[in-house]
Amino acid sequence: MTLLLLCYEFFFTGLFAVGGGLATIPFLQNMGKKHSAWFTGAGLADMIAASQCAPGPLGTNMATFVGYTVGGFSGSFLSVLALMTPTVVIDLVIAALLERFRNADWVEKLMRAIRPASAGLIAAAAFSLLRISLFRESAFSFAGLAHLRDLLLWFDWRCVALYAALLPFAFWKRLKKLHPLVFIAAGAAVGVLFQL
Amino acid sequence: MKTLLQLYFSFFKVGLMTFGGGLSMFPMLEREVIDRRKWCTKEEILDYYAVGQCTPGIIAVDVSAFIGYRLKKTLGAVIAPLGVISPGFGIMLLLATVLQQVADYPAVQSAFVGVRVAVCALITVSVVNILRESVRNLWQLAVALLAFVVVAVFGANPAWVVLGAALLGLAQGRLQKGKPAPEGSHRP
Repeated sequence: MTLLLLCYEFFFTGLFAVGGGLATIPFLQNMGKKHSAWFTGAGLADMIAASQCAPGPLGTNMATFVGYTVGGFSGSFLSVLALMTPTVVIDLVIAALLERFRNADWVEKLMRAIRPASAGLIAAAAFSLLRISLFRESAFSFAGLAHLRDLLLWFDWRCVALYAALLPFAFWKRLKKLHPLVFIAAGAAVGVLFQL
Repeated sequence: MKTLLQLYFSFFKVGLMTFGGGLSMFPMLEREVIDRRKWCTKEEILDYYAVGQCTPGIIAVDVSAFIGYRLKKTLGAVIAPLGVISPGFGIMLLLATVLQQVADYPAVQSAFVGVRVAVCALITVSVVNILRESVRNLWQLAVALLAFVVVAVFGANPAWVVLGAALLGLAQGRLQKGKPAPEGSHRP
């Protein structure tokens, strides 16, 4: 039953995640919220990290890990296939009429709205990752907010410092081409050294 | 049959050599598919990318499916994407097994706290790039903001956002057709 549900969720993701691997992250987060026994937000963040360390498309890598976590080997296999199926089917239809599709006016209009929406979705996913990584989830509540200075307790300041230290390097043009693994290894090293 | 095998292994190689997927796959495709196999031209691959970016699903799957279709029709469109995802699939399975074994060690948990922060930094860069590419006017900024708020604050299902944006895009297209020179909707 879980496997069927997993297939459905990934098929759905493949059908609606426009713009590649990163665009599947908001759908994966939604999946974790819907099926809380499958994985937590922090668990998903770890899976995203692992997927960035491995070669190959980020989207199918994440699907492999999520599928494995939920349903073992068959889960991973089915998740990846379910994610790819709508894509390949749509591609087959388009390939048969590529010229007409590419120059169609309505496609252009559709994309002018879908592209920014998809970007907004990815930004929301990134925001939620930031919340998982930089906030103390236990302290994150408006109820406990008696003083404005309690706001400071929301953040895990050592993580915020690490984020602030890594960000300029990630944006720096000359280092941008660096392998993501370098950043992830740096994060792991700091994590172990300072026992974050 | 021979071409199908070549197709699978060429894309297997491309999948093995690219990190980050999508656009970072292009240099490898250039070497393997254009220079070595001469299966298609650079312009064609760029076209495939353009279509892949506006269809649902993983872009690497789109591009490989189109190249596969060109060579071997439907069967090619299935085999090539399978090739490109295979190495990642295998390596991820290994990683998943290993990580589950060691997940309970305190040192591993500390490492992952740092790793999550590093992933945030990497994704922040991607988000900024994506926003720069896809938001070109105020109207698009409003759509992006709305999508962000609906999901980040209200926790809506992202699929509704995509569908809603599609409807908005079509509606706006209609409006533009009605008025010959509309204000406030600049073409990008």
